[in-house]
Amino acid sequence: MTLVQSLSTLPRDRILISGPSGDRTVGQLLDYATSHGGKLRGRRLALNLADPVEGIEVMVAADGHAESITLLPPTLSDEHLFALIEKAGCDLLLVSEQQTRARIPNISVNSNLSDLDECSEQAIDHKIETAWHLATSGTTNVPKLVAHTFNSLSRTVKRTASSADNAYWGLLYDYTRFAGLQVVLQAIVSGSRLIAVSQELPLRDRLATLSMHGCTHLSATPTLWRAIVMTPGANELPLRQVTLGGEIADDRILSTLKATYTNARVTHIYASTEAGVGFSVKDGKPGFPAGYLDEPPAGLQLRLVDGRLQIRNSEVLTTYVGTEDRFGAEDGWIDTGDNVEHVGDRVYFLGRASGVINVGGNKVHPEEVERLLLAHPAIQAARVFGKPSSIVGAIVVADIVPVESPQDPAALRADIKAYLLSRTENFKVPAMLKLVDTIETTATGKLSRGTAQ
Amino acid sequence: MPDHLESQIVEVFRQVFTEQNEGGTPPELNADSILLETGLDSLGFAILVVRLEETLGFDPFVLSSEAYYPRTFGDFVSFYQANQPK
Repeated sequence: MTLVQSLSTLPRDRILISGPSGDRTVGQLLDYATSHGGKLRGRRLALNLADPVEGIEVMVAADGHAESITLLPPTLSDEHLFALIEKAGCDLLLVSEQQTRARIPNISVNSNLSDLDECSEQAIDHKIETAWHLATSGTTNVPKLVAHTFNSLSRTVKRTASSADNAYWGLLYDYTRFAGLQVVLQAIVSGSRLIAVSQELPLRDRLATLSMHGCTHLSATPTLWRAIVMTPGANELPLRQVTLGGEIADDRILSTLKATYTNARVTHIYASTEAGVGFSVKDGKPGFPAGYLDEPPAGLQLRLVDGRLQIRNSEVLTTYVGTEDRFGAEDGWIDTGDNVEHVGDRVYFLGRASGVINVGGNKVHPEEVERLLLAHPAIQAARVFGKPSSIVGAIVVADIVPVESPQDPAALRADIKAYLLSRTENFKVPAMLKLVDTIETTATGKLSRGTAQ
Repeated sequence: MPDHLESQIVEVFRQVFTEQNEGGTPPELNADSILLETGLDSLGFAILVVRLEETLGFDPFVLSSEAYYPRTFGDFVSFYQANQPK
C-alpha cells in the first residue's frame, strides 16, 4: 500500500488539509502526485520544506516512487542538515525559498517539484516501497535517522473513519517529526481534515485558529497541554479527542483535560521514533494497565527487563540509517531506556534510565551540563540532575562545589547562570544551583545518578 | 497575611523574569494578567514554581490534588493562599 493508493479510496472533492497557504482536496493531492511523482522515481529525496501543506503534497507524490524520503525538520541547523543528507545519501534537496541554507555539494536543490525534469523511465508504472527516514530528537549531537515505511508509520492509523465521524485534526507538532507525522497520516489516511497552523503565532492565536476551523482532535505533549489549559479561550475548542505523548502524562494534567473537555476521550500514547507507536492508554489514568504486557493492544510486544520497558518492533531495521549503530536487537526488541515500576495491575513511568532529563520534551544530558559547569573557573565539582516539575515534567538543577567559599553566594550563582546561558540553550541551564561541600560518588568513582525526590 | 504572600510571589516573579529575559523590565502584574502572556514561557513558569518552593517552603501543585492550573496572576496567588500549610 502506498499513500496514493490509500488516498485513492476517498472522494476527490473532500478537503483533506487546511493550512496557512490554502486548502488541498483529495483530488488536488492525487493530481499533483500524478504530475510530479514520476520525477522522483529512484531518487533519494531530502525534504526540508517549512510549510506543512507543501511538504505533505510532496510526501504523497514521492511515496511509491522515491527510493527514500528523508524528513528534515525546518528548525535543523545547516550542520545537522548536511550530516543527515550525507547519512541518507540524498541526491535531491527540497528546501523552502525563504530558507537560506549553506551550499551543499553533490546534491541538486529545488524549492518545488514543478521545476524538476521528467524522469526518462516515466512510462514504467511499478511502485516501490519507499523508505521514510525520520530524525530522532537529539538536542546536542547530530540527530540519527530511523528507516520506516508508509506501512510501519500508518500501522495504528484508523483507515475507516465514517463520514459521521467528521474529525478535524489540529497540527501543533512539526510535521516532519514522528509525532507530527502520526497526526498528519491519521488525518489524511482516514479521510478526515488536517488543520495546520503557523508555528510562529503565539499559542493563543494558534488555538483561536483551531477553534475557528472547528478542531475536534488534538495531539500535544503534556507540557504544551498545560500551557493550552492556561490560555484564555482554550476551553472553547470543540474537542472530542485529546491525545498526549512525548513525555510522562501525570494525573493532574489528565484529570484537568477530562474536566475541561467533557466531550473528549483523553488518551496518552507511548511512542518513539525508533519503536514506533507502542500503545495508547484510554482510561485517562497515568501509566498503563499491566495486562498490556501479556496482550499488547497495538500489536507490538512489550516486556520489562531490569525495571526497563522493552518494545518489539519487527517492522523497522534496528540500525540507524547510514551507520552500524544499533538501537535494538536483530529480533526487533528495543530497550526504550525508560524506567518503569510495576505496582499491582498498573505499570508507571519513572524517567530515563540514562539520567537524561526531559524538560518539556527537550532532552538534556546531565553530563553535558556538568561539563559546561566544570569549565567555569570557580567550580571544582558539579552534579546535575532532574527535579520533578508539575509544569514541564522536570527541570534541571545542580549541586556545585566551589573552588573556594564565595563571599557573595548569590552573585556567584548569577555569574554561573549567565555563563551557561551564553553557551547553551536556556532549558539546559540549572534552575537552581546549590552550593555544597562535597559531591557523592559511587564505588566506581562515578557520580551517583537518579532523580531527586 | 495574604498581602505578604502576594508581595513575595511578585518579588520572585520579577527575579525569574529578569533572569529569563536577559535583564528585561518585568511587567506590572495585576489580578487579570495572563500568566503565560507576561513574558514567562512554560519553562519560566516552572522555574518560578520551583523558586517559590525554595522561598516559601511549599509547592501547591504538589500539595493539592485538584485538577487545576491557574490562568491569571490572581488565580495563581489565590492557589498559593488556598494551599499554604497552616
